[in-house]
Amino acid sequence: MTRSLTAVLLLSAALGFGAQDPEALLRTGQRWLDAGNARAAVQTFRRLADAVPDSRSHYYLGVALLQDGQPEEAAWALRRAEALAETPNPALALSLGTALLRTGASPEAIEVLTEGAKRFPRAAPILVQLGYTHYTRLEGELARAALLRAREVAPENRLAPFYLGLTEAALGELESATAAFRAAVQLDPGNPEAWVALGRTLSQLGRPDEARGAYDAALAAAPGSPAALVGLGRLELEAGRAEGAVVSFEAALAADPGHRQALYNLAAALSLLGRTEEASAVRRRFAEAAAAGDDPGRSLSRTRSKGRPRR
Amino acid sequence: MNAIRLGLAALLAAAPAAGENFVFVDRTDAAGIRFHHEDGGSGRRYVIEIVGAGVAVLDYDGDGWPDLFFVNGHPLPGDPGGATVGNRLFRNRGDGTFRDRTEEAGLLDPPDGLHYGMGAVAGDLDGDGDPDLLVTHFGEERLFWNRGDGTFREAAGAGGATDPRWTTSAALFDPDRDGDLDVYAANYLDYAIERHRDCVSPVRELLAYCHPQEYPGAADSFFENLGDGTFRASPVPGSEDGKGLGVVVTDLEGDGAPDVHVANDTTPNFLFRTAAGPDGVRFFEEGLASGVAYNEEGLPEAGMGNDFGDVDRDGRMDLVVTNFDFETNTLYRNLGGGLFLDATASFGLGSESLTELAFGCDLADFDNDGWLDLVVANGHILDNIAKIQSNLTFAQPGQVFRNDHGRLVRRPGSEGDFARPRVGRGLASFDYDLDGDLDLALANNRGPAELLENRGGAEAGNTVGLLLIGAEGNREGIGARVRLEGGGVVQQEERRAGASYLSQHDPLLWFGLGAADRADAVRIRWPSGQEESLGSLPAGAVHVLKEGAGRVAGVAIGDGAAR
Repeated sequence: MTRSLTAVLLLSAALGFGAQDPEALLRTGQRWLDAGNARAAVQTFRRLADAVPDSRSHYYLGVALLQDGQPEEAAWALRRAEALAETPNPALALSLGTALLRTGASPEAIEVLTEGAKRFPRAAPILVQLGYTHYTRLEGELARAALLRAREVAPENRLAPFYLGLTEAALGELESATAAFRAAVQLDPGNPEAWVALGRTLSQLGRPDEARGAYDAALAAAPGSPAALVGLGRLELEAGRAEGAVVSFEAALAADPGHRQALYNLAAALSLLGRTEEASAVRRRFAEAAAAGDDPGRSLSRTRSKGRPRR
Repeated sequence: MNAIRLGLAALLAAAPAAGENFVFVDRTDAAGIRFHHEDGGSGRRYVIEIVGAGVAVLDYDGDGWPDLFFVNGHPLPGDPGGATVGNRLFRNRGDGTFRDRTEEAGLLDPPDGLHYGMGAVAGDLDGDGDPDLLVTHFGEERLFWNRGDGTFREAAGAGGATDPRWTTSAALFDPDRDGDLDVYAANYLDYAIERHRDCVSPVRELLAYCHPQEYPGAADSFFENLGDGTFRASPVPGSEDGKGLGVVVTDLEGDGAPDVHVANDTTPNFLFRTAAGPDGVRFFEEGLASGVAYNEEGLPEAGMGNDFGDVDRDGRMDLVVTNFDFETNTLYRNLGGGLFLDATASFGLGSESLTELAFGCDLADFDNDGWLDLVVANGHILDNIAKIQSNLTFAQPGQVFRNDHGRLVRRPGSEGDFARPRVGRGLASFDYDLDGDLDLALANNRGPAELLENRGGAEAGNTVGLLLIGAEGNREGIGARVRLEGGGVVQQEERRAGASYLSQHDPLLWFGLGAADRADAVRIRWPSGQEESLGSLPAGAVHVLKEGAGRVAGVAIGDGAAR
């Protein structure tokens, strides 16, 4: 049992379940959040909001709801907090923008975050969230502008360069993406996702030696990372070293037996080695994984249109 | 002043940029090509509107000059002002100009609006020595027999080479090895205007063309030539789930049995091996096992066009597939033994083809250095894409990738007028002026067709053109593989009918020789299976090679047409 969880339980016991002391409820809810028990935090903050229906209680309720995976409810609570607030609050703007994005209401999220960024021009988290939201809306230039501004006001922010890298890659600017991912790993060398993204971009640029270094660093940060192992395996395969590729892909599959890219490429490597029966067996596993996937036309889902009724 | 500026601009466009040895220059107007593709759009965004159309290169009148056939759409329901000139045949007059001979040739489209064209393929289907024409449609195909006198006669019911489904690209080949040409026809979606549904963009609430997921795929068709002017149509087993757009044929194993690659849109690509048997042709789908069904991530892509070519000059045919935006154009390296590997990054295509939505393509030697370059026609499918993704546009520039010893390098300086944005679809390469370098014909969606002349390619290196005449197999040698030694290197090419996207390239085979003044040796494996070796052939000429008879004629480049 973690220390914070113990503290929460002790505090709850001391107050009794019917306790209405707002400060105590606030502390209890915060500790539930710290303990990762969003459901309990929601219950606690609901009681707080009932007892003291002010901006602060609704803000915490919104944050807890967001952590509990209830973005619609969270957006409602945070809207309420905003209405009750005497002065604008950057944390509130950030949380509301995040909640709205998670409900799928990205235009409203953009509106809230843009307004927040105007009021708090040095609030890097708002700029980062704004940039990320633009990125999800395929608004590359707007995303880039917000993320560059975030880096400018908070060079130490770890997320800004990572999202900037994703944005640049989405714009097809792989050199810029590489620079951004390099900045991301410099700030956060323990972030395997950023290392893998760097490796992938370098690989796409046809710089296999540098890509290998990035994947190695990803593995140092997260030993056994399937994404990094698959990246290394691909480099081996393209270099004609099928044995090495098999080792990497099999290691990736040891960590994630259904890893589709690992299965696909392992089959190719085994075929190259003349291990045709094994390759066939792996292809069958791949076919099963592919059939279970829902990603026909990977990137198409971003810009091509689904058949839902026109509104 | 403006005239001076325009003149200067034209002059600059006509010269290769510094460091480049060729450039594409627009000659459409000067050549007299006037054709506008009618998509028939009414604002409803019927999905067929954004797929067409193609262009076929053929020498229909046998004068040795390559002619052009452009395919057109028709007004669709709700298109009040729509009009179409229909499909158009342009005869190459041999003086740098073309003349519209559609009506005289008997190819005028009926004004009923029932024939919404997609692509075309030309080949000698009846074995009488001249190319016939098969036009694919959203609906039934149309087959035109070439009478040999500069006119065509439409075969009733396309002689059976027809399919009521939505056919896109087609290719001619002889998988049953009976000496006549059969047809592989790719079918796209099981779609009908009556079953149209409105789709909106997932990111913006905008009416947009539907994702192909919204409609089932349709099995491809095999039209077996029965040798009497009729065909037997049958679905290709194993193709049921495909959404085919591009078709190209090669012989991967060199065993005389042609292999068919189909670029499918969002579903895994096909590679069909064929075998001739007493019960007809059998097809074996081996896309997954051969490594061409998916990209390196194990994901299906939105395949549009495709072409085979020996990019790394290792004697094996590599494969390029053009794809959607934020997918690369995928280049599969042929490793031998029936295996391919997505080697897009190591070929150099990874970063340069991400934001384009690519269709027509050709792996060919545009600067005559003996290495196959890549040209790609681009254009989005969403006319409102700029409102959906701010860094994309509907009309997009074409791209040239020069082959630098096995690595493809984008060369904007060679693009010239090809870099102008257009809604690119069909692309065919051919040497329209027979000056010794490959030019481009472009069939654009809802826009004018274009003729782009290659300036500088002929001067950059020597070349040799080959016109094949089959004797035992089909008369045009379609399916023949030519191995040519010259300048200390070995190159391979195949005579194909159907490639790129809804299109067909030059019936002549072209080999760049660099500084070499001759091809030292030529070896041909004819579709009949017969192998033939020829000695030295001088560069700067088109040579006519007849199966079993060797070189039977030739003409120096610049002296006119070979026949």
